[in-house]
Amino acid sequence: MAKNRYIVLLDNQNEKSIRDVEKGFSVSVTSSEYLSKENRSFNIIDNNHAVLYKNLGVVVVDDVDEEQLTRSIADSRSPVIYFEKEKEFFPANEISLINDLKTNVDQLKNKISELENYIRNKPIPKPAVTELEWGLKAIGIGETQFSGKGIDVCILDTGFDVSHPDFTDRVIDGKSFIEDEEWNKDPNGHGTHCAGIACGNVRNDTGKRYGIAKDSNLKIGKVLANNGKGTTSSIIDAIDWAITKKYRIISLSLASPVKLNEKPSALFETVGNRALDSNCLIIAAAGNESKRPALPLPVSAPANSLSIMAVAAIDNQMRIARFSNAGINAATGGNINVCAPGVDVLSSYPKKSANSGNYLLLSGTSMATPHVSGLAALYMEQFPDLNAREIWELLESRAKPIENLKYRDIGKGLIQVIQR
Amino acid sequence: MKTYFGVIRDGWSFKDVKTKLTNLGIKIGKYYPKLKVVKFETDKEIFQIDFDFFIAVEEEKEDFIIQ
Repeated sequence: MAKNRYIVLLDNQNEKSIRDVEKGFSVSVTSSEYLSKENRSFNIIDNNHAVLYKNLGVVVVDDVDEEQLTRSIADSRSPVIYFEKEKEFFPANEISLINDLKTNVDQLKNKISELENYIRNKPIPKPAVTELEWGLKAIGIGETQFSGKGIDVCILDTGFDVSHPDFTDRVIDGKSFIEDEEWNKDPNGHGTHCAGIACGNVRNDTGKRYGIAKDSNLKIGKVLANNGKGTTSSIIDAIDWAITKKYRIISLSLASPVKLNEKPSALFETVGNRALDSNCLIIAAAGNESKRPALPLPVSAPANSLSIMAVAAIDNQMRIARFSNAGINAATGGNINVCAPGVDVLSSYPKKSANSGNYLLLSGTSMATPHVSGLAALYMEQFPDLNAREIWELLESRAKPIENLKYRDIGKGLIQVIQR
Repeated sequence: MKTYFGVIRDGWSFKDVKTKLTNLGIKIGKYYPKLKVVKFETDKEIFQIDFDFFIAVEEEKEDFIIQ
């Protein structure tokens, strides 16, 4: 059986002190000068002896009462002034082995992390998604249980048709910033379509889902007139209103074209930052001026502001939409942040005649933008402690690149749900 | 009359900006407290150098359209 061995430091090494130790601890002290090949220290110590190392003033002893040693230190008459239990030291080769193992574990962890990142960011191949609801599948909507519950999503657009059958049981707030036009009607139809993508649910005829954040709180700001046009005033008025109301997401499926090398608007740059400071994320369409492949044009305002998230559009073959603007003015701001489905997207639409339906396929970066706004609402429900800036970072970091498509055109890639 | 938006520089209060604009003979349209932005109208030609209390001054655009 292994015994505890102690290193005992003596106040002095005179004969009285040695005798006190021998008597007090019932051992026989042998001086280290008598150690030899035949008379090794461990043999002496094992035989109820102790070894005194004269030059060190230390006695090595085993199988003694530790409490007695402790009491001896407290006793001023005792020569013992300090003791400690003998420590075991690994031979250098064993330590090396453990260090090697630790290194191997670290390397393995790095490889697992690299593999995880690779799988997460693996470029999306080009599938032929032909269903009408292809956009929701492309962002993986079936992989999440979140629905944007409790999150206020504000759509600033042409208004909203509150009589649409899919929304009659929803509580929807709104305000018009266009003179003599009401927010709760939408003769244009564009706003109803965008709101349907971000906050809609399922079709009342087929039961198929077309909206993303179906349990979010839909808020409408009418900033574009029925002819589809708006001004800085109406947009700034509405953003100020939305921030004052503490809405978490502002979706802007509108844009004003900019020239090559034109600097972003300092006004919208500040507005975007002040919205983020108020925990509100502004997401905007990159614009539809491009005529690809020959002529990609720069991201429009206000999406070209660094503090506003810019969204490009892709089609169901995972190709960049021919109209989708690009990060051409990246040196002065105006890069694309992410892309989303924006070609032949089905959503709610006002019924304009007896022969028309409640749904329509539309294309544009306008349609891509509410995909991101709806998904942001799901993220905000899933990660309630994250602020608007962190949600933005998460949308980008979880987006997937698409094979053969450039960062200039799609930013970090196609937005994706976070599985849970 | 042209409409402009001025982004108030940090350290300036709306009250001080209002006084400055009034002294310049400029009519204030609206103040957005959450954004710290002032909308104002004037017929005069404006120069950024006259508005050291604004980070930037931009003229209203009327070409925002659905995408």
